[in-house]
Amino acid sequence: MSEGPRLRVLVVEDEMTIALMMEDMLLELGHEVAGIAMRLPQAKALAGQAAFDVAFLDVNLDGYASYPVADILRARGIPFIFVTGYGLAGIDPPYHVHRVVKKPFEIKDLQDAIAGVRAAA
Amino acid sequence: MNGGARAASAAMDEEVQVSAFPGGGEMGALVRAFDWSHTGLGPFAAWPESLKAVTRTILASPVPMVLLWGEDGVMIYNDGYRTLAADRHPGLLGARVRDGWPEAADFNAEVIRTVLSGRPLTYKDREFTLRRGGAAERAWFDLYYSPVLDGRGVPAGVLGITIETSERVRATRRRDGEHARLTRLFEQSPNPIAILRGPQHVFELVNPACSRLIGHRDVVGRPIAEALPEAARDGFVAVLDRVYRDGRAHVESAVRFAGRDASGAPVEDRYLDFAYQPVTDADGRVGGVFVEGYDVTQRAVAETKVRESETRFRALVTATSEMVYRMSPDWTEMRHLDGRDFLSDAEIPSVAWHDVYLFPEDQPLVLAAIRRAIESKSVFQLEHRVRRVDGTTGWVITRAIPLVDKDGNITEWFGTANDVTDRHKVEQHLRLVVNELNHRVKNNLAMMQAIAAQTFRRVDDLPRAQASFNARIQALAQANDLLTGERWAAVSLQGVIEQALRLQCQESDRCAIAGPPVDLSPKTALSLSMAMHELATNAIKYGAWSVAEGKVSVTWSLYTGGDGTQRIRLEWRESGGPPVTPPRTRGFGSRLIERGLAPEMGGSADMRFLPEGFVCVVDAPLSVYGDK
Repeated sequence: MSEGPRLRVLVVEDEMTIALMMEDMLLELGHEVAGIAMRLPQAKALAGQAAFDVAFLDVNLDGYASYPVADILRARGIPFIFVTGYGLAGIDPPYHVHRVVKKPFEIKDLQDAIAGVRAAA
Repeated sequence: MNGGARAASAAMDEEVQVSAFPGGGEMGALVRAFDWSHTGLGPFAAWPESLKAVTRTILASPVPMVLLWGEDGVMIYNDGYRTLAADRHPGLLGARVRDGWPEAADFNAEVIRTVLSGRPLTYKDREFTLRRGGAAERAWFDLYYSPVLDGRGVPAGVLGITIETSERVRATRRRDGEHARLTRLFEQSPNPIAILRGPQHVFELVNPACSRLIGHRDVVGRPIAEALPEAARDGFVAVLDRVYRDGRAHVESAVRFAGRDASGAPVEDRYLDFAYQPVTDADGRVGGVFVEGYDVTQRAVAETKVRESETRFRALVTATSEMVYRMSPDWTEMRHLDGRDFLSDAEIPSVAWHDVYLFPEDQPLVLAAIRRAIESKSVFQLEHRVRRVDGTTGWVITRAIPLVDKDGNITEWFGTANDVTDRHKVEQHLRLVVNELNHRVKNNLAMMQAIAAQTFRRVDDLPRAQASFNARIQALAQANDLLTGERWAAVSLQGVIEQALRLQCQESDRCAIAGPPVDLSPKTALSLSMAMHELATNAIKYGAWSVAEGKVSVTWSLYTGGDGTQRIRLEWRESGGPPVTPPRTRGFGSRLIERGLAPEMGGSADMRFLPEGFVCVVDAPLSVYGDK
């Protein structure tokens, strides 16, 4: 199922079952999960320090928007993909340029999103 | 008689004739010189004494007189009569009256016949149409005819005193005509007119319009206070008193007049302008008052309606909770705004209103809508943001209409605005709630998907996996119930654990739950619920709850960590179960706790498969959000 190089992926998702499923899916796609963050402080910490190639970013982290995490990633030049139940409408206009995966999603959605990021890079 | 004798006789007659009528003015001279022999009177010498006597009398009188002698009425008249005769003088002298006055022949014939029968006749202002001075004209005379007796005492002539009264008659007629005209005016005037006499204001004259006004009540000859009892109350008597006393005219406008019908019952009120004019008697004293009214009811009613309409409008503007404003035709100037404590009031015209009421970023939108309304001369309507009187942001729904003049040009805009800030907030909140709901539904679907993916991953026993899946969904639903009951606010740790374990362990002595009060965020509560479900399921399958004596205790305590933060230590401890052997592979439950719950709580999980029972310890900061 793996295509291209093995990537290190940061998963920022406040719902543990979903986070675990993403982990499974990413592993199945042949990638490595560099970390899972479920709350904003941990997410910011990991985003600023951890070594990874791409991040999936849940927009709403237990009531807090994850834009500060996005800002950190942008500053570090690390591509990221928003994950949200709202779709594009749930994302603030300044972040519209980023790729979005809508919940609920399939493994193929993650694969396409990663492929898109890779193509853009 | 021969000619000479006749001539001598005639000369003597003339002499006698001349001496017979001394004086008499022109007519005297003419009578004396006249040759009467060819007239019905015959030669003078043959005149009876009575004829001579009456001729003398006539000629001596200054009163216009005429003598009609004999049945033919041969005429002798004096100087006074000349005026009457006009251009027929002196031709009338000695003529028969029917020849002299052919136009009055019948009249004179009747006079002669009557008077010669011995009866005098008198006429006052007898009218004739006489041809005098070329044109026929009407003339009037007072005529006194009396018989003149001859020597035997038999009426032989008619003595007429003829006094022309044309001038007086004409003057009287003129006066009467004027009077009639005035009366007609008075009678036909649409304006009520009354003349009141004396200090008691007794009605002397009332025209029909006035009669109608007062309900056709019989007032003439009665004092106003008695005839119209309401007049005193309504102030009319006081005005009349003053005009009568001061002798000065007085005018009053739009006086309400309480209408009455003939029975005195009130009918519709009228409004009149009244003019009071003192009427002076011949001696210059005020003897009465002339009152004329001019009905202005329509005007007064219209004015009243306008006034009422204005009052209502003012009341509306005052009573409404809406803000009211007026703008110049092109909206460059705000003429007035009543801001109802929501917006700042504009008492005087202002051109800076954009900056007062609108935030800079909203101005293009609002001004564009205004421009469209001006161009189409149609209603301006918009919901937009405003700067409130306290500087904060508010929302209004505003609507303004153009007022146009008769040429269709806009003279002003009149508008109202409604504070919809609260509604706007509610709408925003509702939008948030709907979005949040949408998010939750999607999120829950994603969670179910995730649980399914985990549960059915590498399945060798499908019925068992299905049962697990159902139980997990059930646990998720229960946790959701708990959170919904708490309106997705913080929930207690104790409540979450009790609810998660209630289904699996009905016997309370096999399940000890203890710890200090701790609140969890909804999300953490949900994760903890799921974790508890997995632990309980495992306990039933392999652990303490798989045998009758086994027990589980769930306890937690708070402590201060090395970095000074408050931490929680949550322990799941099984005892009394079958001997424990560590599983060959990690199940979903273990993974959920180690990779899910621990990171979720920002801490770590430690799972030990001790021989006396399974133990799981989660150690985490009390709250990853500080004060949340």
